[in-house]
Amino acid sequence: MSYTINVNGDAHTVEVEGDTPLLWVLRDSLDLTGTKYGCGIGQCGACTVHANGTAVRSCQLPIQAVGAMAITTIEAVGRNAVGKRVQEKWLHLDVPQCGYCQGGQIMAASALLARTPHPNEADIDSAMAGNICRCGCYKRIRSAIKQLGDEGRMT
Amino acid sequence: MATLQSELPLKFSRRGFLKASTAFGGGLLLCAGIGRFADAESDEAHPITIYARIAPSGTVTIFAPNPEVGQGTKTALPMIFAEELDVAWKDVVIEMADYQGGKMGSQSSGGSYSTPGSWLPLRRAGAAGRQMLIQAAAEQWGVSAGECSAADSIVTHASSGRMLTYGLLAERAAKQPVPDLGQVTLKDENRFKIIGTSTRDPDKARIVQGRQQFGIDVKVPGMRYAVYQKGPVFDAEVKAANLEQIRSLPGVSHAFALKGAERLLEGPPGSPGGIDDGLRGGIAIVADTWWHAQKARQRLKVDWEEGAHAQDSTEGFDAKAAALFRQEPEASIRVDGDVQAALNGAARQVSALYSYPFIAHVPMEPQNCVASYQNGKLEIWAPTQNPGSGRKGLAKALGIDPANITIHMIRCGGGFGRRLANDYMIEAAMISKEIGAPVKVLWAREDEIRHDFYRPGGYHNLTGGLSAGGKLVAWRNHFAGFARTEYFARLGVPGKDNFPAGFVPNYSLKTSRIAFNMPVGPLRAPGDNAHAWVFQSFLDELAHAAGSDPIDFQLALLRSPLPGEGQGEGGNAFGPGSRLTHDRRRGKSA
Repeated sequence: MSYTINVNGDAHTVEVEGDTPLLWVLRDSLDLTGTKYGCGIGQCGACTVHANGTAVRSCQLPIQAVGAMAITTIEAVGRNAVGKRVQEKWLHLDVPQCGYCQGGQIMAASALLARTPHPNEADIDSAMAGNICRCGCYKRIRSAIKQLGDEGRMT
Repeated sequence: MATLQSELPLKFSRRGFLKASTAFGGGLLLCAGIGRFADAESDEAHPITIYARIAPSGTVTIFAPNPEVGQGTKTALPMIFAEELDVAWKDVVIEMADYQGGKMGSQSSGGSYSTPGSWLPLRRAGAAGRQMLIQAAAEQWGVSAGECSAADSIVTHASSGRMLTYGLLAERAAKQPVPDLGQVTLKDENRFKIIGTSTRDPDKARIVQGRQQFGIDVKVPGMRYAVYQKGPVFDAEVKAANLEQIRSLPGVSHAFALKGAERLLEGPPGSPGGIDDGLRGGIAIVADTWWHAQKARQRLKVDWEEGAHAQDSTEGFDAKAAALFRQEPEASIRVDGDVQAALNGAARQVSALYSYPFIAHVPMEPQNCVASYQNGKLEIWAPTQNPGSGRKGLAKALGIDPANITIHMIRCGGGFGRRLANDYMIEAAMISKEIGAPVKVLWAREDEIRHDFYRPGGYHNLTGGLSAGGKLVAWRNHFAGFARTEYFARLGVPGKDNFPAGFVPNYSLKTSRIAFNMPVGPLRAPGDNAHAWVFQSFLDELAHAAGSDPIDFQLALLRSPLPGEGQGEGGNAFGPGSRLTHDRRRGKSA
């Protein structure tokens, strides 16, 4: 079946079954491999993308449910101001270790900061709890988000 | 492009390289078991050119020899080479090397060994390159090499003030004789400019933009996707399956069974065994997309031959350990003094039972591999920590010459020791050969949990004795561990010198075995991640029972090694007169 979805500002038409998770459409049909497979059951966060600005697990979103939602992936999140700041901060603090989960971490963090520019500890915990990092970069992830929130407050 | 890579016809002797390795031998002492990752299959000459390429533009491409698992080796190892080459770091571009069959060392990332194991070989190779660039400049200027020096990608003739960049010298340097690696002059460590600095991994900029390639992202022309369904218990073999039905499902092109290879099991100390790359029995489903293959798997119905260990369970293991602890131990690893007499005479006894489970590594990136088998030649793209044993395993499984196997090492989404085994490579290669097309095998997360090379579990039945003064006078440990043969699972049993052995006058470590059939392998700080937890925790319990501060209790213990003890790993690092030489380390991890 044919579906047309809006990804990173462009319309893409793909021929897949309706139950195909968005994750696999992005990775295997559209070659947007920055979105990662980690668990397939919405428990690790590596596949996080934005749907109309909200962080969602693309492994849990069948293409037939995407409809007209604007999907943004890690490859394009830097086009908006918050996403760009998050990426730069991530680099500045050298957050990633192996890096595999970091696309998902950045997508979750940028959705949080877009909605809550000055998150407190509880905001950060609840927004980031679903994103696992097996290397254990949590401390730097938290610092990065905290710094971004504090910088925003000063301006 | 004039490059050292393409034009340098000259080679080091392997002898030179081996000398370097041996000279570093002292550094291995604190890194038990590392030798098993070494790959000495190659006896070919050892060209410097595999390390770097200097373009006329001045860009120096350095090939990172060892897999990048997130530990920074892709940056750290080129830094070592660049330091001795005296190249300016801004001129350096890093590329991941392919596996070189032993010419570039073992090329494995495990046991915290990448950097110490590469330290001298890479410094010598870099220094040889610097010497050749200086020779080239001296030849061009008609002066002696001794009058020239190199720094920041430039060779300078001090007395005339003439300078030439590495880029301009590259072609002439490629024609210089390659120095004997054992004879090159290494820089004084005080002159290091790159080593010791904090240098950014260039992959990180790509990572934050989602542009960095991991193994799972590799795509090659004509590639198909596969899942490989293994049994519900270890070493199960397929008896029958609904393959016809699976082949009729959307997108599926192939479904077939593969038979498992004979398992490499533990033998006497020193024999190979433990990490096992061999194929396990299962069913391959190949489709046009991974999702189609994965969906088809849900319809798979297999009748498995499950083998003798199908009923093994955690509860069964626990019960077996409890039963063993009611009996005398089967064997003894170490006995000092008279433990029973000391316990009888102790003012206080403390007993505890410690156990820990089998655990999987679960790196964030599930196991995967792209393989392309064509006309007896095999090309592999894999996130692996250990390409050398992968190539051997592939050659054996496919019956082809290792020289016909190319392995591209792709950045790993975590490893933790899991990717020291290369079972996923064998699966992909066998499937590619069967279907006559390139294929990407990707494991689902469930496959990861069910078919890992697990950190072995174990049980410690401990009793300690304290004197009236609160001193540790007796330590008795009956260890029940797992064994697939008459020998314990590798890294699954404590060593005879594990602290506090050698510091307690009456000490015994005795063992009994629990039969099992699970694949096991090293996980971060292999062995110690379990045993050190047990011993340190029990020492804390004893300290509390003695009414002592746990740190004071352990320091007192460390100050009184038994005669002739305290010179080994623990004692040398922490005991009286503790002193580390520059090539010894206090800790280790994988």
